[in-house]
Amino acid sequence: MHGSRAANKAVDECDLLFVIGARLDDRATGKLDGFAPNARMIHIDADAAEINKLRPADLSLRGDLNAILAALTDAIAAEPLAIDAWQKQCRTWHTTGGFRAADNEEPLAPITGPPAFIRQLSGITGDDTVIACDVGQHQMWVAQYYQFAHPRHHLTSGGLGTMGFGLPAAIGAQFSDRTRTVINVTGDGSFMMNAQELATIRRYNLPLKLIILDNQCLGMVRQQQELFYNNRESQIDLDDNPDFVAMARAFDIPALHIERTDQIRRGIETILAYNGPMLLHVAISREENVWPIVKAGASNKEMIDEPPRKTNSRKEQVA
Amino acid sequence: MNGSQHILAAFHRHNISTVFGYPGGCIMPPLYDALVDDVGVEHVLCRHEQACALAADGYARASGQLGVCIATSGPPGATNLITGVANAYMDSIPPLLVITGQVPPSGLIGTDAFQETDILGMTLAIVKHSYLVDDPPEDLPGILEEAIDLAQAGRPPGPVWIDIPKDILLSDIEAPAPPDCTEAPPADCPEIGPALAMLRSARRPPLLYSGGGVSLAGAEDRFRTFAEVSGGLPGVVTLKGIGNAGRNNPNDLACSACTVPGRPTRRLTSATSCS
Repeated sequence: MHGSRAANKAVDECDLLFVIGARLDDRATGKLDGFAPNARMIHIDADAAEINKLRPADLSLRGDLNAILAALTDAIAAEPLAIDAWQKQCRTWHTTGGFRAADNEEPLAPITGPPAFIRQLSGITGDDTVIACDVGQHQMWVAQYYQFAHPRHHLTSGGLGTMGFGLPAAIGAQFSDRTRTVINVTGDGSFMMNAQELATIRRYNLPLKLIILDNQCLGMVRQQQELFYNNRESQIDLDDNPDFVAMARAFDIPALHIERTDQIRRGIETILAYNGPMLLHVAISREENVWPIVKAGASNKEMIDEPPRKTNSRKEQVA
Repeated sequence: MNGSQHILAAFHRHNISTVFGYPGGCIMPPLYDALVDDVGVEHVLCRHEQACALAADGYARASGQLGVCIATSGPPGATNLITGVANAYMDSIPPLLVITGQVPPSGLIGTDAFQETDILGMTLAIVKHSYLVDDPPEDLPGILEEAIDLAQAGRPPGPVWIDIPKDILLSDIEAPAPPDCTEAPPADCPEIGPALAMLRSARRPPLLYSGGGVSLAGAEDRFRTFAEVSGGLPGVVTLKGIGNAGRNNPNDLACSACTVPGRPTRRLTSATSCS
């Protein structure tokens, strides 16, 4: 639904799709008849039930992924594939057709671009950082813009999309390793679902970091209502949120508030450097949408891109 | 040892050092009393049973180890775990052990007793397997071993639920602790020749498409090595495959499917035999 145009183009254009440990869920593929239409498919999976379930494989390998990949690596090492041109093409697609490249960089501007925030977060954190998301637009921005060193560092509720997952999951992750950096990136809607667990963080002195991207609404639902239901908003307004900074402090957890682009870096660095739990409350624009988007039930070819953004750059206004 | 002490002994045997739970009527006198004297297990008291289940999930996802959550019967206890357990089930990745107290069978089960509910019936669709420990109490140690093994073994791992009546948690059980029957299945590898031939004969180059199965198998390093050695195959990932290629990999075209997938088809899994 929110995959990158570059990735979907590559899937569309390749003639051999090498599927490894993926079950080709319809939410991932879009309408199946439009998914990799020109490609044969090799499907590698440990679970026989997933092979040929949704799309017949031209060739399947069922077994332990470690053993299969080791055998393939040994066999291909003697003569790697000659794919320089394809590699260049894919990288070009990624550069020109990947997720949003730039954001409003005006220092005093409101944080209208959550991707800029996530990109900065990704640039500042170490390879060992674990991010536990909740569900909603922030979850998609993390998936699109945060660079993960390892799949186990990305805790996200995929199958059920459970709001309220992030904070307790982050707590669990922190207990598995007290020394690593664990960050719960959440939204104002999701945070309220299990906010009582601030007490658990305090009780066990977990050095957890919380980042609330607060747009004062249920953003993902708002976006769907805007784009596909004639902008008829229904039950998505959260402009009566509590003061999250005061709330954290009530649990004896220090907290910061930021709302301008020039505050992003300092805000992130402050919470990461602090020796203990800390919450960063980030006020973001209500109107932000996740791009691109594919309507549920449609093919990935029917991807909708972000419309041209209005600029409010001072330089342009002066000119 | 009583039933509760057998549970803690099983935790020690399997190096389970952290559990997430919330006490209550059916589980408090037996298991929580036993915890007072136990030094090997850290019990994390969350503030809501749903958070206990989700924390056990997060623990399992981040570490690859078994996540354990404990609650009393109910509503309110066991039923508050349901969302968290379903969440783990839908994502397949985290192995989870769920232990709940239940009203005693003799004279109470089926009478709408205080905090009684048919939790096994309610959760059939969201567990890999579940047990209601019945008479004789001597079955409990064997069930514990089987459940711990089942949650982690087979493909995929997933939640296993043990519902234990209060009187069994309190019963003296003389049965010797069963041996640890966890064994890793042999690594099986099919013939790869035809796949290699197909890779080399593609008119236009292939594309890697990887998902959560890579981390489920612990195959991240092998995956990256293969991509590199093959000549630098470009790849896309699903939501659960994010991170497969590592950070800032120039051949990673990022997520082609950033959305929540649907419900997996129920499938048979095989458990390692304990006999």
